[in-house]
Formats: sequence, structure tokens, C-alpha cells
Amino acid sequence: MPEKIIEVANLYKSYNGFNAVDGLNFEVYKGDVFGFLGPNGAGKSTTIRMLLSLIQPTSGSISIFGKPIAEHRNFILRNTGCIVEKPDFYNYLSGLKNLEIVARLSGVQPTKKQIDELLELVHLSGKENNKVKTYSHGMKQRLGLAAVLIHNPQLIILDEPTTGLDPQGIIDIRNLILRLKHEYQKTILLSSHILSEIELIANRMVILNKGKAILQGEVNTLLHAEDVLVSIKTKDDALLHTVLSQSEWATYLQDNSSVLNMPQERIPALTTFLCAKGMEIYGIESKRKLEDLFLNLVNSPN
Amino acid sequence: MHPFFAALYTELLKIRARPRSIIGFVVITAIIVLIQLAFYADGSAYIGFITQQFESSFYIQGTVLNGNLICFIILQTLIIHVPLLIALVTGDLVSGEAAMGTLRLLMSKPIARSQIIMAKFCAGAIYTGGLLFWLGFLALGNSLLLFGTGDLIVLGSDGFNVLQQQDVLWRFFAALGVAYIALLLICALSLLLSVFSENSIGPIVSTMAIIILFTIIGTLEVPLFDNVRPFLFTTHMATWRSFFESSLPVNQIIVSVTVLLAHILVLLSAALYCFNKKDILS
Amino acid sequence: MIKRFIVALLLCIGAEVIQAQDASTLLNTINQKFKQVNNYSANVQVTTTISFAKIAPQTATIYYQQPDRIKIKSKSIMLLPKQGFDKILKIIANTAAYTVIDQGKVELAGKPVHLVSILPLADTSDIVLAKLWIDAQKGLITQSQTTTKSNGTITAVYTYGNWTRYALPESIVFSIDVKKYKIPKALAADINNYKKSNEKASNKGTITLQFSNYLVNKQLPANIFK
Repeated sequence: MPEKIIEVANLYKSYNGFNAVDGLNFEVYKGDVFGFLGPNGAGKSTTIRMLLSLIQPTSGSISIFGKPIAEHRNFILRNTGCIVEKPDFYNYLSGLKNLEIVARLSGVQPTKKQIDELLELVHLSGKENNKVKTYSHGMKQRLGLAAVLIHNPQLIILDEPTTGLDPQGIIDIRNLILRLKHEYQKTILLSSHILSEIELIANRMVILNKGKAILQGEVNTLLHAEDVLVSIKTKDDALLHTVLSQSEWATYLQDNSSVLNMPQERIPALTTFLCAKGMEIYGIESKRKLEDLFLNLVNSPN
Repeated sequence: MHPFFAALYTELLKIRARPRSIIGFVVITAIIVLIQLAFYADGSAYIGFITQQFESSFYIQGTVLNGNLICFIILQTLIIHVPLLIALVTGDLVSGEAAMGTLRLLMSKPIARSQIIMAKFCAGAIYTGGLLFWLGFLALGNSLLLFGTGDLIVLGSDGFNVLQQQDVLWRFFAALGVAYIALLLICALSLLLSVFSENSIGPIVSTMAIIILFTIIGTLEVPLFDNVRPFLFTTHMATWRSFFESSLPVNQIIVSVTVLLAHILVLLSAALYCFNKKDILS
Repeated sequence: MIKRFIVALLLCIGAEVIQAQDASTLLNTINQKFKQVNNYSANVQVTTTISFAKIAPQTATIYYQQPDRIKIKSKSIMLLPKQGFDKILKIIANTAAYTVIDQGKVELAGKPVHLVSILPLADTSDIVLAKLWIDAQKGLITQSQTTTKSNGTITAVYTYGNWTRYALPESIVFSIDVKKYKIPKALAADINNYKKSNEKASNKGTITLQFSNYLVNKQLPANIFK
């Protein structure tokens, strides 16, 4: 069993009787890129702030590196790098000065070579002496990552690091996170409200909704071992429903619709069957159940 | 480097880099130079206005308009406004970071919250010391250079006393020392208010509002306020002037300094307690 | 009847003239003494007791040159009476400009003295009335009182030590009417303004000049009066 880096048990945070985090349990293991997924307001940032002791839990326990955060805050933070929500810096100082401040506060004094390497890593070489107020959002995000890495932490916590970035920026950050995992063997907790992002980077994940963990485990298991929901576009939906309900496929039909809940590998057999029945098919769309579940969470008004 | 000193160093770095920190120095320099120029050009009119009160029976022998008097007038005019300049910086120490979002950055570093607050207070105290030193240096040094030295005539509304030249310098230093303690109280007060706010205007305005309110209560000669007055910190903030009485009210100065220090202790403890309990939601 | 009246009047005028002559002689004696002084310098300690002013005793050097040049040199700030000692001496030196009335012998602090009143002849004079209490035996002024149009009344009490032959006093205590002193609060540094003083302000102020180390008719420093 790999070493547990983060262990959260029965975590609650209440504001005036409202549970922003409601009995949360999850574990992050060494070397994980752990996806922390949930719609806005699910309690992701609140949990992350509790992990960093920015806010006090109402009840429950948090252990990081096997030590409770309440008693070992400084030890834990010395070995943790983070971006909470968005990377904010002292705008009136240069990027380099900001890095120096972060390094000093983190208890390290990196050499110029180390800083140069870091700037190279986040593609900010040559821009370090400009004031942060002149930086674009993407540059700030990358400076944020440099600040996270400056004291070479074991654990990296990133709260929605790709928010507000253009597609290229998102790709850059994603690649950087993967490099941190593979080249630097960091443990990373990554929050996001975008499933595909987690799917691309994370190996384990938890889905949060209304402060509760509704699903957690290996990303591969959760996203790929499930049946898919297949919807078929034809000229005559009523005929399609009749054909399907009178065939062996009837067991996969969802309620009264023509949507089938079936194993992904059987889709070719289904198309062959429909063609043989003379159905005119305009398209077949398959959606993973988890994605559907998540979209429902995101789109639900509450 | 010890985490506290790391925090103090970065606080000083931030204060130095912020444009608002320079405002205090610019304002003080401008006002002092303005007063000095005005007195240099037309100081005799001011002195004449004072001496005409007793000109019919007496004349004043000696140089009334000297560097010491100008310095005293400057301190008299300026020290009541310095709290605003101090609060401008110290009221922003926590709330400014909350507004900018850097409080999260700061608080997720391996430095105890108490050390962060103490570092901020110490940085504020160093800034205040710098500002007061500059004020003293310009007010006294420049005035002595321009007007020369001499006995200090301290005017009251119904009398005056004359302090001998050799007896004045230590009084200025002692007065600035006590004024510094009073300004540290402003530091602690605005820092405490800063803990509760997520914008810097709130603590600055609140600090000034408290000073103005207490000063009004302290100045109004209403019997109701007589019992309250000794407990208002603003009453004791003016203690620096006691050093310019001919016979030093030692007991009163000790009481005032004790009250000021007690206030600082209470305000700072409150700031520490509240900041330690504070959820960083910015 | 008319004869008797004229005789009485002449007797009176005669007496006045005789008394005035006595007073003039006294003043002349003092003036002669002082005329021996071409110049002098002395150390003087000034002690002020005025309700509105707190000033520690200060020292100064005083320089005098006949007939009317006087200079007080000090680094310290001090309050001095507007009508100093020199005013009396000026009057004595120029009695022709005044009517001198000898008011006879009176007692002052248990000692018999001569009281002389002096009135200016010209309307333009600032002095309204000067009174001198003179120790006729020693030929010294022991007390003076001058009333002027501009400065009110000032009384001065003189004591003498080693310099009686020049009529130079060892100390002079000036008593001066003090008007209420008030300046606008904006200009005042009211230290502890919440502490109301219960002391009732006196309307008399005194300034004591204590002279020492007289140097009479020695060379004064050059340019001292400039």
C-alpha cells in the first residue's frame, strides 16, 4: 500500500448552520495526481483552505504526511506548495521579487541558478523583472506554479489552476503538472469543475457535491469500466423504440426512452442490428454514465 | 533565517515598495518646509502677535523666533496629523493583503500567524519610527540650521513659559519618544481593525474616526465626560507636550506612558487573538 | 484784608520755592553722582514673577554709555520692564523740562525719606507723573514710581551696596501692573488643557534685577551698542 499523504476523515465546515463541507472523507497517496472534482460551490475550495489551515474545520480530522494539521501546521506547510483559487501576488513588485518573498517565507534561499531553472520551467525567463501588474493571467498562473515549486515541496495543491486561461495556457499548465508528477515525483491534489481535465491528468479522484463525496476511486475504473448511455438519431423515433423493445436490446432500454444503458463494446453489434432492420440512422451518441452524472450535478439549479 | 525575521524582512520590503508609504514622508517634508519658509519670511509678525499682549509693560529680551520655537510649532501642528499617515500604512497591513489576495499566499507559508502579526506590527513600528525620525530631523535640524538656537518660549492660551536653550534638546527627544509610543498605539489599533477588514479604506477611516471621536470627547468641557477623559487614549497621546512644562509632571507622564503601553498590549493581543481565529476567506 | 491774603500767598509761594529748591538740590546731588559714570558694565540676574510667564532666573550683561545708550546682552529670553532705570535718570538729568514738587518728608518701610513729585511741562511728554522717594542723607533714590500714558504705572524699589558713590543700585525690584494675557487657542500649546488651574492670577508682576561686578568707566567692548 503506498504511503498516505493526505487523510481527511469526517470533515465538516459549517457557516451559520449551513454545511459547506459535510462529512468529507478521502485519501491521497504518494505520487497521486488526485482530482478534486465538483461543481462550483461543492466545497472544493473550502476543503483546500482547511488542508492549508487557512480556515478551521468545524469538526473532523486532517492529517498530512501522517501528522495532524492542527499540531504540525508549519511542518506540513514547509513541505506543501499551493495555489488557492487564483495566484495573487504583490502587483507593485517584480515577478522575481515576489518569488524571493515566497522563498524567504517558505524558509529557503534558492540560488540564482535554481530560480533561473524555475523560470525556465514555467516559461517566464526574461519577464522576471517586470512588475506583476503587467503580467497576463496566464503569466500569473505560471508564476504561481514557480512560487509553488520554489521550496521543492512534496505535496502540491492546485485549486482550479486552469481557470481563465486560453486553450494554449490550459495545455501548458496541464503539461507542467504531468511533468511534475513524472519527472519530479510530486504528489498533486488538483481541484477542477471540468471532468475532462481531471480525466486527462489525474489517476485518482473524488467527486464532491454539496460538501459530500459522492464518488471516489481510480479515474480509469470510474470513467472506463462503466456502461455507456447510447442515444440513436433516426428519422422515426417511435419506430426505433418499437424495434428495440421487441428485440434482445429491450433489456438495455432506459424507461420509455430510446436511450440504451449498455456496455460500450456492444455498440457495433447494435448498429449492425439496426441496419439489418432497415433503420435509417443519422447518428449514434454514447455518453459515459459518470459524465452524465457529473453534468447533471453541474447543471442542477441547486 | 528565523521565520519571524523572514516575515519582518518581507514586510519591510513591501512597505518600502508601496507608493503609499512614501506619502507620509512627502507630506511631512512639504508641511515642515512650508512652515519653515513661512516663518523665515514673516516670522516676526507671528511673534509680534504674541508679544503685543504684554508690550505695554514689558519688552522681550532675546531671540524668541529661533529653531527651537519653530520645531515646537511644527511638532504642535503636525503630530496630531501623523496618526493619519501612520494608519494609511498600518491599516493596510492585513486588509490590503486580503484585498489583493496575497493573504492566502502569506498564510499558506510555514510561519505562525502570531509571528506574521508581530512581524507586521514591528514593520509598522519601524515605519512609524522612520517617519517620526524624519519629522524630528527636519523639524529640529532644519529649523536650528535656518533660525539658530535659543530659549524656547512655550505659549499657552493664558500664559507662557520659557525653557532655557540647554534644557530644550532632551525635551524634544523625550517628547518624540513618548509621541512614538502614542503612534505605536495607532499602529496597534489600525492593525487590529485591519484584521477584520478586506479593504484598506475601512481600517484607515475607522482609526481616524476613533481618534476624532475620542479627541472630541476629550476636548469638550462637559462634566459628563470628566470621568471618561482619563481613560481615553487620545488624552494620553498628547503627553509628549508635558515635556515642555517648566516643572516636569513626572507622575502624569508615567501614568500616560503606562496607559499607552497598556493600550498597545491590549490592542495587539486582540489583533493576535482575532487573527489566529480568523478564517482566511478572501 | 487783601494785604493779609497777599502776604499769606507770598509766604506759600516762598515755601514752595524753597522746597522745590531742596528737591532740585537732591536731584542734582544724585545726578552729579551718576554723571561721574561715563560708562559701566555689570552682570545682572533677572528674576521674573509674573502670573502668565514662567521664566527661570536668567543672567545677562548690561552695558551703559552716557547719556542714554544702554544694551543688555544675553542669550536667554527674558522679560524686562519697558521703563527701566534709565528713564528716571533721564528725568533727573533734565529737570528743566519738568515741574519738581517737593512733597516733604515721608516714611517708607520705617525710614524717613524725601518724596519728590515730578510733572512734565510739555503736554507731549509720555510721562504723566513721576514720584521719587529719596534718601536725603545718602543722596540715593530708594523708590520710584512712574506713570506714563502708554505703559501704566511702574514702581521700582532700589537697594544699594558698594556703588553708592555712583548712585548705582545693587538691586532693583520693579512692580508692574499686568494686564490679562490671552492668545488665541490656535496659537497656544495648551499642555494638559483639561486640567483647570485654580490659581487666581495676580495682576501685579515683579521683575528683580540683581547687579554684580560693576565695571565703571572701563573700556566697553567695541561696537557693543550696534
